Amino acid sequence: MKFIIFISVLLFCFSSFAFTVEQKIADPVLEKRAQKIFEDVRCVVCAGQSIADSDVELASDLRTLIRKKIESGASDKEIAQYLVDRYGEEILFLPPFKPSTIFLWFGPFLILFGGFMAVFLNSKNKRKNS
Amino acid sequence: MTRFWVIFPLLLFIAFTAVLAARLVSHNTGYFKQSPLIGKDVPSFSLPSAIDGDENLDNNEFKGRFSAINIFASWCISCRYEHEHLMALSKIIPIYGIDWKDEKEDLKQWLDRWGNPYKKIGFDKNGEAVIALGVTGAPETFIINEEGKIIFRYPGPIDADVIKNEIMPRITTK
Amino acid sequence: MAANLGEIVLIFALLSSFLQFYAPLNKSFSGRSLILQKFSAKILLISLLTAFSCLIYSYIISDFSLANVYRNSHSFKPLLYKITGSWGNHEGSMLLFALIICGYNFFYSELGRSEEKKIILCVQGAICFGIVSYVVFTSNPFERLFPVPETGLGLNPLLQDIGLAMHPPMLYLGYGGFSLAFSFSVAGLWVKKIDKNWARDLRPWVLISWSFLTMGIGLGSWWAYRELGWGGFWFWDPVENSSLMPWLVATSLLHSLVVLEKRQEFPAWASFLAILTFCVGLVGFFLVRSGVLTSVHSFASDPYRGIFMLILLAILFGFALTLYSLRASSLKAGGNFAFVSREGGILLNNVLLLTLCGTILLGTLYPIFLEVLVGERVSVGKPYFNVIFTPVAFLLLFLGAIGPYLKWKKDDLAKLSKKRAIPLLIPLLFFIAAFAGIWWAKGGFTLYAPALGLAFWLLTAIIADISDRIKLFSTSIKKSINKLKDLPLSYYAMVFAHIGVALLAISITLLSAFEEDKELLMKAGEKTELAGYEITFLESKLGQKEDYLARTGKFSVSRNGKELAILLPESRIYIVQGSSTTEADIYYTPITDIYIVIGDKAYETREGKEGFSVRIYVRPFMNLVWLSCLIIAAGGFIALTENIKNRGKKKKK
Repeated sequence: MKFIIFISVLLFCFSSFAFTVEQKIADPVLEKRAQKIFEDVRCVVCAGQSIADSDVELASDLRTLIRKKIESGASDKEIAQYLVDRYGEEILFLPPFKPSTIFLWFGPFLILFGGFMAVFLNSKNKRKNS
Repeated sequence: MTRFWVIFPLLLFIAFTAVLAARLVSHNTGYFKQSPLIGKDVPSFSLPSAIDGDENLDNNEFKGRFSAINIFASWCISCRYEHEHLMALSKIIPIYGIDWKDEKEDLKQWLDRWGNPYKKIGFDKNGEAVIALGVTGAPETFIINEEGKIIFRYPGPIDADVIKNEIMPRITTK
Repeated sequence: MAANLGEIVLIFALLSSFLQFYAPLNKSFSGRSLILQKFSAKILLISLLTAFSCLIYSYIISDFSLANVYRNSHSFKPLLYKITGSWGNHEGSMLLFALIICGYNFFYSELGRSEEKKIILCVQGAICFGIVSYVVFTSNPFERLFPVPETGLGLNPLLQDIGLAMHPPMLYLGYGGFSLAFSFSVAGLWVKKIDKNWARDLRPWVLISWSFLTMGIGLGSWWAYRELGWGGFWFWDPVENSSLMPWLVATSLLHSLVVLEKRQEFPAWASFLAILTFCVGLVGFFLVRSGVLTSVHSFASDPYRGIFMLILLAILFGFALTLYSLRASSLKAGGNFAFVSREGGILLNNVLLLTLCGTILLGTLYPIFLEVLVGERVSVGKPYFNVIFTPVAFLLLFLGAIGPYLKWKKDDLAKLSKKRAIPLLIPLLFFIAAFAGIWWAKGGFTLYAPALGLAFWLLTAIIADISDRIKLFSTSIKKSINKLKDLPLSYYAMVFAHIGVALLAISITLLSAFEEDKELLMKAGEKTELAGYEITFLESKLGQKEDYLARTGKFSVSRNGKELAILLPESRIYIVQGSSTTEADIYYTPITDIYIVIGDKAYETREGKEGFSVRIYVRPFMNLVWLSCLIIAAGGFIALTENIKNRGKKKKK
């Protein structure tokens, strides 16, 4: 049963029956900004897609809402905050920068730096001639 | 020093396995399961009535007593399943409905056929109010306390268990 | 009937893999244990071939008494997809994976070399036993249904594609071979001997697997591009990430094996990488099938399966890593190299590749860790990976040009600048030219500028090195061509692989910088324009094919008045599932792709327009991306050829 639900959701998100063209923002610069935001917002009912890639109606509604906010002058930060207030931080694909995600953000650089140090310390430069 | 680094991968692996095992055993997988609106005021929204001639519905409606908001639609199959439970719940607290992306005619037929548990019904044609509430699908139910703050959200159709174990305790204790 | 046979041979598989594991452990077999092991390997492979054939047969005849066939097939499916659908689901694909691992097992037992062959086969036996157990106890494809349904549920239409047919087998041909890396490592650690012979014996197996994995990843992206209808090919989806991680570790392993074989340096590191490669591959398997991650690609999840696999992983890698902790220090250590040397360069390459792998792992798993430990939920997606990947990739491109120039053991930066300045001057010029070119084309600074610059830096550095070796500008063309023939195959391998990477960077950068999209409503007879191409919507037709109804749109693509192609994208409704998909049609050229998708009839209320929803994508240099993957894989196969040629020649001691 779970499998059937899974397949239905999968097809639902990739299906075209809701593929209707939305009204774009007349100003191409603003529309481009909207498209960029869409890629960073998680589709609420899909399995990991952004609202830019989803044909689901709720995703379409989110896009329309975001366009409306852009046209009324909201900043990217304000739009993001609006969504986070209602759906939680998980709606943004860019993870927040807060104490519990410090390791997420610094981890890669720790690995990189640590690796460089390890290579350096193990090379002959550091040790005396052996 | 080197000995630590030699053991480090093993330690990391053990930690990693432990966390994954914990995750496997707990069943709450899935995104958007917890609403960030719990404890906050009902977000602002304003909807015309779904029934011609009735009053509008907006977020100022919810102060003074416990109430519920229910997102539903005539096209929503699970909503029919929870309907009888909503009728029961409506005798305990007032339920305000938000009719999501529906047609007024279809709604009228649906209510005439199955009954109307709602004190008021807002007509959300473009889905904005639903997004304002952080809803992920229909049906979805919010419980609101006397101060107008959201205290519970249940995604999916409610049934007798949900009313007994989740809703009643919240509206009868202070 | 076939299903019964399938189940029985799986029992044989369990027994023979266990025998292969047990033979060298029992003293009474001594002397004959290797023969017993080779025999077991044969039986094991035959069992799995039989089981898999039984499954395919059941699909072909649409035997719905098998739950697996019922859930994933139906009678109207085209034959090709009946067959390929057998591995388009969890149980079938696990069986395929088990088959491939047993295949590698068999070929190693017959063709592979090592002084520790018995131990290697012993470990392989354990691995095969583990995987086959997983299939038999948690993912049995031969599970029966009673009463037998009349018709099946059908295969997800997205999966009915030739790219899908080839992608999982190719990937498993990658992951499967890494089991040998693991076994070699355990064997070497057990006898405390990891040296250049170990590297030489292991290398061909890693090369085969790595080359297949490269193609598998490329195929997956190509399939996503053609099937998903958005013109994208990489989404940082957990399943995609799971395939990229072992690739990154395996690439590091390949480089380290070269160092181990040539210079006897860092045996402990190489053996660790070998364990890690297989570990990351299997962890990827686990992540995708256990339900801890949500992804469009993930299979139906079942916690019980997840737990079984997690226990399997814990046993395998817990043992291996414990062995590593105990034995690593007794291996003959390296450390006899200067920081500025080719060894240093290769180690830095490893650090960078592993940083990328670690980043992907961190990003993919962090939401899980965070939720389990703290109870918070975050999403980690494209923005995160792009932010971290980009600088590290830049460093890789930069170092990739310098590394091969460095001398082994110790190099002098001072000498480096004087002697090597000229060959590196040309790449520097290309860097500046590419940088400036994109700057101008984009009207300002973007990250595409350094990206393209560094990619050209790498590309021209390699070309400069080749022309230096064949003395292209100092002798006649004929002599240069002769020198070209004399270059060792291993050099060609490196050239192909590195040029492939440079071309991949170039194509991705140009693609991202210059791609264009358009979405609009079109009525028959209307025209529109994108990126200098004129697209005319000629007509639309409704028709029925095989198991779906299709609305086909006919589009003409022209440039400068000359017609280039007719495209026929479809909007399909699958009869059995009652669902619909879009099937893009693509006009492929070396320089660019034109990609068109048609949707439903729609009405745009604001302007009162009506027509069909149409999306048009222009994707410059898209095909160079796929070509680059092939070139990289070719590098692996060239190295493999050399390795096989050398086998006959020398028997090192």
